[in-house]
Order: sequence, then C-alpha cells, then structure tokens
Amino acid sequence: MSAQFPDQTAALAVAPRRTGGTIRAVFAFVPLALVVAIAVLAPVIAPYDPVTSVAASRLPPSPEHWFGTDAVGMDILSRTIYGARIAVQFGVIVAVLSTIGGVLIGTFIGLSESSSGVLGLLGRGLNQISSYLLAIPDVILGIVVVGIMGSSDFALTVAITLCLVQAPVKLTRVEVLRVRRESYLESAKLAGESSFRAALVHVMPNSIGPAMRNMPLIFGNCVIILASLGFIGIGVKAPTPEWGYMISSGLSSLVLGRWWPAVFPAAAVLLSVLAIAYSSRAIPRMWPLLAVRVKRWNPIGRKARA
Amino acid sequence: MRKITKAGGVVAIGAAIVLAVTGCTSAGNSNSNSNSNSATKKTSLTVAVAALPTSFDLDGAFGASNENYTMWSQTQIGLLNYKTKLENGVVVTDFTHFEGALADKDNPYTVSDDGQTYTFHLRKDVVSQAGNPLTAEDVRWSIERKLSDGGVGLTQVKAYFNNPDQMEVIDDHTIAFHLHNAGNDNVLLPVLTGQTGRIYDKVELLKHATPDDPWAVKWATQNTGWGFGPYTVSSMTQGQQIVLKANPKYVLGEPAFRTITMKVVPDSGTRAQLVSSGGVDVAEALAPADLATIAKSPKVQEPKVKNPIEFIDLSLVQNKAPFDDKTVRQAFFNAVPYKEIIDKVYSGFAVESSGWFTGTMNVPGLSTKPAYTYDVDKAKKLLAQAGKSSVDVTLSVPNNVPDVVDAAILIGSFAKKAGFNVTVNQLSPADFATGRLNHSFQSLLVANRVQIQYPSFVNNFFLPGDPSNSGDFQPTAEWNELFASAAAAGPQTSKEAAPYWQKINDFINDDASQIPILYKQPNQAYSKDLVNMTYRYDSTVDYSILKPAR
Amino acid sequence: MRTTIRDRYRANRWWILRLVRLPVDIFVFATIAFFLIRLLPGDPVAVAVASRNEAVTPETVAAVRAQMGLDGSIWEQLLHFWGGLFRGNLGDSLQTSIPVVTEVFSRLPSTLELILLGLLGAFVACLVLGFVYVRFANPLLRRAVRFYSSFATTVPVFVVAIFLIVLFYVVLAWLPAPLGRAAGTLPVVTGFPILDEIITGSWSMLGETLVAYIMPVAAMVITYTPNLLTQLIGGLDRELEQTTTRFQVAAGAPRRWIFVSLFRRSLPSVIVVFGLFFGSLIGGAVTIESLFGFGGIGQLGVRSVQTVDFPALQGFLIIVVTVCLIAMLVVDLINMALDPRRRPGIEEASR
Repeated sequence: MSAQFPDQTAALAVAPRRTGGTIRAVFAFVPLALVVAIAVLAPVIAPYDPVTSVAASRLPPSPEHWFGTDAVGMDILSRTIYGARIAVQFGVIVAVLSTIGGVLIGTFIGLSESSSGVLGLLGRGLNQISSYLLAIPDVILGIVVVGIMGSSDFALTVAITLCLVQAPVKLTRVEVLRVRRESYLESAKLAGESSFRAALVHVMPNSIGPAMRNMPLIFGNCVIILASLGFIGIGVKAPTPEWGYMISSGLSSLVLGRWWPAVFPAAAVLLSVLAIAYSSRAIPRMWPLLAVRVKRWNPIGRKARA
Repeated sequence: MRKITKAGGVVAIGAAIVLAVTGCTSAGNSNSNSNSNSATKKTSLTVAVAALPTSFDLDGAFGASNENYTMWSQTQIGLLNYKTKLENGVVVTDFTHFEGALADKDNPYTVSDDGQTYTFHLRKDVVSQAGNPLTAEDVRWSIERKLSDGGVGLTQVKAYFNNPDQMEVIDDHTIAFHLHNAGNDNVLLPVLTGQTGRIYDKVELLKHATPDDPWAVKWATQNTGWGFGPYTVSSMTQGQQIVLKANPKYVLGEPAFRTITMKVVPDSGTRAQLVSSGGVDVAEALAPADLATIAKSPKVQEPKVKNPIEFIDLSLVQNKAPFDDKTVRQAFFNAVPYKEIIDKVYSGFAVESSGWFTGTMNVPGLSTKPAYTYDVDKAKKLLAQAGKSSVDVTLSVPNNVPDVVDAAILIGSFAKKAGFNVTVNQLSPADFATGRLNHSFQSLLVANRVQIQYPSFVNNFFLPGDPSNSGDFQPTAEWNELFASAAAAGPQTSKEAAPYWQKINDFINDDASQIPILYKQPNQAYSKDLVNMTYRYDSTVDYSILKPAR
Repeated sequence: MRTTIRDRYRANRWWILRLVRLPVDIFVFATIAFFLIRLLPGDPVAVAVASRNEAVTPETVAAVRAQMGLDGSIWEQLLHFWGGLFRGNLGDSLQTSIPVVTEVFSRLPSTLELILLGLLGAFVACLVLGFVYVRFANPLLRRAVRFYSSFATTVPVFVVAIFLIVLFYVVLAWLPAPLGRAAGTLPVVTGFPILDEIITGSWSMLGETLVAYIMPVAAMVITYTPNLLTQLIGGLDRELEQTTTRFQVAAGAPRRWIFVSLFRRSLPSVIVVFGLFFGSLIGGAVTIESLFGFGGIGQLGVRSVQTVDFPALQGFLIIVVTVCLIAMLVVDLINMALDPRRRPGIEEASR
C-alpha cells in the first residue's frame, strides 16, 4: 500500500509507548497539577482580596491591576485565581462522579435492555429516565433539584451531576451495544466465562472510550452550568469569585470595548479545560503502565490513581 | 442594517428632490441646509428595548413590568396630563400642575368649595383609536372597571373614593366625582393622571366582552385599539419586535413619528452600542455603566435631570433580628458607601438621597442634605451602643437587576469595616416576590419609583402587610399623628405644611427602616437627531412628542 | 400472506415499537413535569401581587389564586391538566393570557430552524475534518485537527458569538447589527422563517435573514464542531485498528469503500452527541438567540421560570421533551440503520 495510508500512523498515535512512557505519562499530568496548585495556593498568589472593592470600578489592565477591575472595583486577577478553587471543587468532583456513574449505568443499560425479565425492565426503565432527564434543560433541572434539596454546595453538585451524567450514560450504552456483538465476546461466552465477568473484563474496558473522551467536556460544561445557575440565582452566591458568573456579568460590556471583565475568566475556563483534557487523555496511556507497577510498587500506583 | 440605512438615505434624497421640485412654502426658510433637513424628516423610529410587554391592559395584567408601563403609556391616555417644563433639553414632568388631556385643555376640572366634588369637563369631538366618540359614560365605565374584581384597583384613594356610585354622569361631556371626607392629603388628581387613570373606549371593549369576562380583560390584554392614546400596536412578533402605528385622531395631535419599531435586544451593552453607532434611534433600559460609556459618543444624547424619581430602596426589616434594634439599623445605614455606589456602580448616573421627600414634590424649603453618609466610626459606635461588635446580615436582592446586585455587593464589601458580615442573597424575581409576600427577609434592596410625587403619598410605602415594601412596618401613634398634623396644616405644597413634612422626613430617616439610598438618572439614550427627550412619572419615553431635530 | 406480514413486522419491530411508545413517554413525562415545576421555589400568586401597591390580605391571595386556576388540591389540578392534555389544550399563560399552545408553536419553528442549520453545519465540518484526518498522512495537519477537537466545550457558544459580533459588526462593520432576522415583519405561514420567506416570495427579506444567520450559525459551527470531532476521531482511531479495516485493505477493496465503511462504523457516537446537543439546544439556544434578537422557545422558558408561570412552563417542558424524545428516537434509528447489530430484539428475530 502507499505510504500515506493512515492506519500505521493512527496506530502509532494511540498505541502506548513503552520506552520512556512513564516519564511522558507523568508529564502529562503537569497541566492538571498546575490547575490544582493554583486553586490550592490562591491565597498566596492572589495580590488582593477577591471579595473586597479595592479600586475604582472598570479600570483597564494596569501594573497595579494586571487584569483590571470589575463593576464594583474588585481585582479581576485575584478573582480569576480564586475562581480556580470553585472550578476545581465542582468541576473535578462532578466530572469524576458523572463519568464513573455514567459508565456503570450505561454498561448496565446496554447489557440488560434487550434481555427479558426484571433486569431488562430495569434497564429499559433507566434508559427512559435518562432520556427524560436529558431532555429537560439543564438550568431547569438544576433549579428543581436545588429547590428540593435546599441551596448548598452539595445540592449544586448533585444537580450538575444529574445534568451531566446523562451524556456518559448514553455514550457508554451505544458502545456496549456495539461491543456486545463483537466476536471475542462470543468466544468468551463459548469459553464459559460468566456474563458478569465478561461485562467487567471485556465489555467495560472496550466501551469506556467515548465516555472518557467526554470527561474533560464535563468539566467545561460544569463551569458553564454553574454560571447559568448563578445567573438564575441558585448558584454560588455573589460575590464569591466564580468564573461563569464573572463571564456572564462582564459579557454585556464586551461590545462596548470593555473586554477585560469577561475575557480573562473566559481564558481561565479555556486553559483549565484544555489542561484537564490533556491530562485525561493520558489516563488510558497510563493504564497498562499502572497495571504493571501496581503489582510491584503499590503506594505510587494508588496515589496516581487517586 | 447598513444596507437599510443606505436605502433610507436614498429615500431621503428622493424626498429632498421631490420637496425641491414641488417647492413647498416653507422650503425657502430651510434653504441653507435642505439636505440635512430632509434627511431628518423621517417618520419612523427604531428603538432597542430589553423585552416585549406581556400585556396591553393594566387591569387584567398580573405583572406591572417596565415594558408593560412603556406600552400602556403609548397606547393609553387619561383625563389629565401633568404639565411639563424644559430642563437641560429634557421635557420633565411637573408633578404639581395639571392640564387637560381627554378633559378640556384649559378648564379640565372644577372643585367644589368644600373640596369634596371634582367635576371634569371633557373635550368634545374626541374619538378613540377605534373611532368611537368619547363620552362621560366611557369615563364612568373605565373607573368602574378599575374598581371591579381583577381591575387594577384605586387603592391609593380608597379612603375617600372606592365606589362607582360616587361618580355622577352629568351630561355627555361632564362627569363628577363625589369624595368622602377627603382632606388636604387627597391624591385623586395624580391617581387619575398616571398609569391608573387611563380611560377606555367602552363601546369597543364591550364588543369583546363575554359572560365569563364582562370587562373584556382577556381580549384587551392581547389587543389594542380600545384606548385614546397616541399609538396602537400594529404587529408583534413574540420575543423579537413590536411595531406601533400612530393614531391619526390622537387628541393632542398626531405624533411626528408615525411608526415605532421596537426591537428586542436583551443585552444592555449591545443596545448602547446600537444607539451610539446609529443602528437605532433610541435605546431603552441601559445599564448605568453603559450610559457612561456612550455618553461622549458624537451621535448620542442622554437625559439627565435634577430630581430623578427612580430609586434604590434599602429595607431593614423591623421585626427581624438584628434589625429589631433601631440603633443597629442606624449603624447599618452609616455603613452603606453611598458615594462609592454612585461612582462605581452608577458611574455618576445617580444622585444622593435625602430620604423619601424629593425636590419634585415642590414642598418649599425641604432639606436636601443626604439622609446618611458613609461613616465607619459612627457605625461602630452605634453598634457598640447596641452591645455588639459584629453582626451577620443577609441582604436579599432580585437577580434580574444587575445594578442592585452590584450595589448590594459593594455594601457588603464596605460594611465589613463597620462590623457587618453581609451575605448577598441573590434570588430569582419569582423567589424574591414570594419571600416578600411571606415576609421572610431580614433586609432587602430593591429598585422602585414613586409615580405620584405628593408628600402624603409617601405613607403608601409604609403600609403594614404590603409586599411591595418592607411590609413589616407598624405605624406608631407618633407616625399617625405626624401625618395627620401635616395634612391639617394646609395644602401639600404650602409654606404652612412644609415644616411638618420635613419632620416626617427626619422621623423616617431616624427610624432607619426603609430609606431610598440613591436616586437613579433616566436610563435611555437618544440619537442626536431627535428633540424632546422626556422624563415622566413612569420613566418611559413619550414617543408622541419626540420630533426630528430642526 | 399472513406470515409475510408477521415477518415484516418482526423485521421492523425495532422501530415500530419505539414509535408506538412515544405518546406514552410524552404522557408520563408530562405528568412528571407537572409535579416537578410545582417544586420550584417561588409562588406565581406572589409574583402577581408583588406589583400591587397595597396591603395584601390572605383573602386577596386566595382570590388571585382562584383567578389563576391554582386553587383546589393538587390532584384536582392534575386531573384538569390531564383533561386538557388529551384535548391538546395546555391552558393559558399566567403572564400574557395567551394559550400556551400558541405561545409555544409560534416560537418553536424558528428555534428548530436555527439549531438545525448550526448543528448540520457543525456535522458537515466534522465530516470534512474527519476525512482530512484519515486521508492525509501529514502529521502537522492531523495534529491541527486533533488540537481543534480538543477545544470541545472549552468556550460557551455565547462567548464565540460575542467575539464574532465585536469583530464583524463593531470593528470591521462587514455584517449588519444583531437586530433580528429582518427589518420588517416576517411573513408567517409555517413558522420557519426561511421557509415562509420562500413560500411568500419575500426575496429581499430572505436575503436579510440569510445574512443575519451568518454570525449565529458560524458561532454554533465553531463551537460544536470540536465536540462532534472528538467523537469521530476517537471512533476513527479505534476502527482503523480493527481487523475489519485491515482485512478490507488487505483484500484490496476500493479505497472509497474503505472510507465509507470506516465512517459508517465511527459515526454512531458522533450521532449520539449530535442528538444530545440538538436536545439541549432547543431550550439552550436562548443565549445565542437573545444575542441576535431572534426570540425563540428558550426565551419562553426563561420568562416562565422567572415568573413561575406554571402553564407556560408545563407547555414549554412538554414540547421541549417531545422534540428531544423524537430526536433521540431518530438518533437510535439512524444508528441502528448504520449498524444493525445495535437493534434490540435482533437476537430473538435471528433465532
């Protein structure tokens, strides 16, 4: 075949590289670590208190205020730095919860929905509920959940997770429906493996791809939903520095040339999502390496997994 | 839009040629700049608004939003209008003088010697938007509709006028209102002048009445043409635009602009950008910061007045700790950064507040000293007097008004230094309204306006149980005594009564439970090609008097 | 004869059953929605009396509640709601007194038109970039495509839209002001603006509308293409590894066929994401619609949430969910058509 036929290059791109893989994989986690570090070290890095009016309002970027000031004279740089805390707190928790929950539920639905009996009924029921939830606009679902549970960080986390878990559920289900008919599963069945074991060993690892690719998107979506909930008035309370609220309240003045209140937090969302996307792509690459190490060198394995 | 403007230009040039050829009698006068003259002779306006009205009928409407006010003011008119005065190029309402609208221009009404009977003389040959002639029966029926179930109600005057039987149709063009024991503090005239005083075309409305809906409220909320105002709605596209058409039979003369197209542009910054670039002729409901940004734009003019009537109202609820202690309330009012809020949040588009009594009320010699100023030491001292050094406060605000939210945030930031830990509780408009009805808030900040600028009307903002105010205010014997003696002292704007109103203002300020913290400037911006910017009781633009410049 | 019908039914059962179940689903969801919205914080009666400048007594509140049809137990209200649902009557909006059905259907088509244009644009862009990705071995090009796909969900669509407005309207002045679809009043036949303009032959308006669509559609294409692309690239990477592909290559199948087969097998998760976005945009397009002064169904949702307008909110949710369920059905059907192995019940049928 001609040299430009793509399958070899594509294979190279996804195949785990054994040589120097550990270092590369560890480096892949640097962006994520950086985001977390900014969140943790915010009080040290931020030049001003993020919730105190420290200067005139709407000052453009200057040596005193690198990112300028907002509508009430708070320092945007400090608020952007502190915003990482809220983003990490909600984004990471929601992304992990939704992905794990979504993969489990999606696998269950995919395996059970066409079988008869109670399991099939349960699977189809779950699939239907997931469809309903998916159809309700995020903001309305959020309002209802927070309305029922009372306003708290926990309620917000549950609300956003409920909005965002549906995508991994559907993505995993579709993959399971595909994988289920693959030939190796048939052979596993023939070889006498139990269906539970088959699901765990063969179906799940082969169906989590789309859900894993979706995970960094959940982080970004989480920040956006948090913002829209804040806009409706049930999100994080102002003036808590939260990127979404900063963007939506600064957006209006963009057309008039006052770009800094919205652009810097928007850039923060963009960079953090890119960082998390980059690091999360390393997870599948880390997987085989981890599997090898877990046996020999337990403590590190656990840490990296966490 | 650029294309459209070009097309508009072509039309204008065409019109100029036609004008020149036919040689109008006035052509000689405007010879020097015929081109710009004809270019501004347009008869349609494009306006950027934040949202569309939800109802065309105040009586049937559940929501008195700014958009609804705007529309009612264009489609409806009442017996009277306020007189106006020109102030820095702005036509400003003079709240203490009236002229006839549907009533006779020069002799709109007569008052009996005992002050209990108001007789209105209607103009003759007035027809409604539907073409029916105006009669005294229209007036009587309209007032009866307001007083009916589901009508807007005339609660402001209910102590002396609350029954349709108090009206007497004397002849086709004369109607009398018989009041019960009304004193100097009666506000019948302003109530009949503002939003609540609009007169309807009975014949037209009754065509659409049903046994279930004898007042045709259901039809009227979605249709116009049953009023006497300068405009009717010619089309509305939900969520996008509304087109108004001038009423050629309008009693005060057909408006210069025959077509008003209001386009929905929900973002304030974009509305401001549009008016400054010439994309629209008027932009409504602009945020103060956006007003400030485009103030210097060569195409824009913005109305500024001496005594605005829209305000931000801070309520510290009297029966909820910690504000059940007057000293704590006073401490909090000393911890509000008034100047900072005016500078930072309102970019100077607001003025300091001396309390509920404003200059527009024309009470002679009323103090204009700010009710409170930001004074941390005094606030700390007062708190210490109350035996406290640190107080937790939850300040509730509706989240759909950004400047109120920002003001609350700023209060929180500055009150910290005086020992107040303020949590800003942002609520959706519905949630906020519910909290007020249930009286569950400890303190609240809200945008409001006094549409009736009469000293005695201030009492209306201190009605126990009223959800639109703090609602937990309980009038004391002293309070009642103060209002009674002010009313007894003489007519509301008289020299004799003035010291009493001053006393009430001082009393309210000292009580520190509900005070306007600042008054906001008008929030519209106009193209410089227009004259007759307006500032009215309902802060809406009066499109019927707007004219092309020169 | 009989057996053929039954066989046909068997073969087509996978989609017939789904179609039959749709009304049941809508009914169940409508009932859920009825209860859900009553859990919202805020009381419509409070909103109604908020603007009244008078003392509000419990009697006033009760009277307004009765006037709004919100008196009586929740079960009575539910029965009333069900009764209306079967007659296609969702009540009148508490805010505008306009029938909810009218409110909804006067806004739905224009929203559908906009998001279909935006998402189909993104889909086409995704296919083109996916083709570029597998067709050319240039590592820089592949890297660029990958990099672009990593922008998925990093920027909200309204931020992109604002940047477009600033760039093309404010700075360059190449495109008209974001003031709705056209200057005049749009003709209404079907409710789909472009279609109506074609039907009534309003060509100049059609031109204006198409120009007005450039920025919002571009914003959606720029924003949503990476989301679809991530899934497509992931699928392509996986399928390239598959024995099927290698077999086709080894067997010397025509290259065109290999590409078609490759895309057919990689598309299902792209289509799922397409369906997800379609669903979420029916209510969620409100941000972009309001930026361009378009109006649409989402605006109704926001307004009715802010004023807890129960009938309007019910109607909004039911319609949005119905459209979503139909979209998801279509997604599943397309996926099953692309890959018959996904059809449920295929096991029994083949037995």
